[in-house]
Amino acid sequence: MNETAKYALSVDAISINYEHKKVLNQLSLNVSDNEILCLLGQSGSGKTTVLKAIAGLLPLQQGSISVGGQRLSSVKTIVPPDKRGIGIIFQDYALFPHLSVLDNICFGIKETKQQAEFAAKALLELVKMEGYGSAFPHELSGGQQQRVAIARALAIKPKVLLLDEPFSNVDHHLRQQLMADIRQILKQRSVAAIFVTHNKAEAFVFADKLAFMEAGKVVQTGTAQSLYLQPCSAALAESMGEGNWLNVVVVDQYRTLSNDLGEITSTEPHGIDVGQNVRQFIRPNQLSFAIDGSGQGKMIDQVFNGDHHICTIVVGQMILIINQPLSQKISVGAQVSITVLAHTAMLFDG
Amino acid sequence: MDWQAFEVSIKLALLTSLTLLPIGLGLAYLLANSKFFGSVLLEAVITLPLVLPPTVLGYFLLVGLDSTSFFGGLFFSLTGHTLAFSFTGLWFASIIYSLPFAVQPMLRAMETIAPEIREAAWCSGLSKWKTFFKIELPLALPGVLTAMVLSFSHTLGEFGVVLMIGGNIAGETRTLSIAIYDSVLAFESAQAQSMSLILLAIALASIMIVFTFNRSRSRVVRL
Repeated sequence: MNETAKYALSVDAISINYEHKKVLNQLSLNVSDNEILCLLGQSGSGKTTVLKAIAGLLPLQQGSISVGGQRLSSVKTIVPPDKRGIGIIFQDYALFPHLSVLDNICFGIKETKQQAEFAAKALLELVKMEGYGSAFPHELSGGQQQRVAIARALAIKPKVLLLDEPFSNVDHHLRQQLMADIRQILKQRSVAAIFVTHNKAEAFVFADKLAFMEAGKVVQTGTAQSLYLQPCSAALAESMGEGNWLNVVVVDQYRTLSNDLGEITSTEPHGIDVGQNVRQFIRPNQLSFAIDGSGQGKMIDQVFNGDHHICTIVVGQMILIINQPLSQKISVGAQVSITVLAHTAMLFDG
Repeated sequence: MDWQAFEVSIKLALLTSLTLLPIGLGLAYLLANSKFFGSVLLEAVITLPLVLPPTVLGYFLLVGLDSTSFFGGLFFSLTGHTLAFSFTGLWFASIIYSLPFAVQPMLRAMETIAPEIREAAWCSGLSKWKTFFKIELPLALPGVLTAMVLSFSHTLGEFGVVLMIGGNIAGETRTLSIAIYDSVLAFESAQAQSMSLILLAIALASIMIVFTFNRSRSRVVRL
């Protein structure tokens, strides 16, 4: 038993060039059995290329890809897509427009026509589309088409399922339900999955584990919480949610000094050399403020966000975004003092 | 009315469009799915007969099919027949002459199929061949039908090339369009008129068949 056999899917240091540009640069990632991994990253970071490589649609210049310990792609050989047992779901559903819903699903089922139709009907029930078997794709809504696409992808009993921005074209009010349903189906059937998105809200809801891509590499893998609170790069910090950038000087292993906010203390040591000039990232919910006639800040704007108010506060030359609980009723124009709440510091080079 | 010429024309048009079906499909698939070195040149060469004067094309074919040329010589040594001034030579020339009319509609139809459709089919367990016959070909069917009808009617109406390489041998290379020309030269205007009307009717009917099919289909499948 080799190292890769521990995982449902193992991508080992793959590189892919496209038109003399390195799209993937020695990228590695592993997905355990029954795990949903979300691949996050800005557009152009190579997310879709990873899925295409796993599906066997692209050749590798370096590295290998294994499913259940069996090597499917290497530099020399590629098992063709139809023999890999990997299902794929696209943003635009990609249903076969000339075939009924039932026929769309039946293709992947290698049994007699009768058995295939029986299995396809069971899959339609699973994705809550029973009764739509004879409909054609163009007669269905986006959400319904995506449900059919899920059924079609599951028909081949995939060991791994790939989802490329599957919820982007689904109406917002249907999205939550669709995500919950699909997640439940994947868990029920113990299918490992990789899910690509640029929407962090979808990642938080749908995935067990997140991997962030930057310049053709996975730079950090972990839970949503760890990527949100301890991002390893500035791009990741910003991708996971809004925040404020402060120029600070490192005072000691816990403390940094900001011109406008004074000393900021981290709950964990940050590991950066004393005296260094760095940029500190603080999320809007890691700051608070109170009315203070002699305070250093002034509120200049306030936006209602359902859960809280998003307030814009000017401090010296700097503009800070800070969340205000709905119970706190400070309005625009107020003079305020700012407090940094206890958190682990996020510090990045220049 | 020259029924013998009519028969030659129909036979030539049918054979040409049927031969162009696999050739056109293969070339269209190749051009639609891969951008390789020289693919622009290949597409340009295929499209060339569209802009070249038929007499120019006919001249080059005449030279190329002559038994002193490599291809014509090879054919002669294999079959004992010459290609120039024969029905087979005419058939071969028509394939080249009508090639753009077959390839272009097929290519345009195949290009409209989203790559994800093909990839989804592969990942659903369909081999490349099965994907082609069960997914891509049915989706490109309007283009394929248009290609067939266009190459049929285009071959039927071909004149310059036929004159250059076919000569005017009754029952062998005299097509309807040549017969019309002959009748006009011989002041047999009634003959010319009836034959022209036949060609007009066939051309109109075939174009209408395509339009009718594509309309009824677009109601079922919205691509």
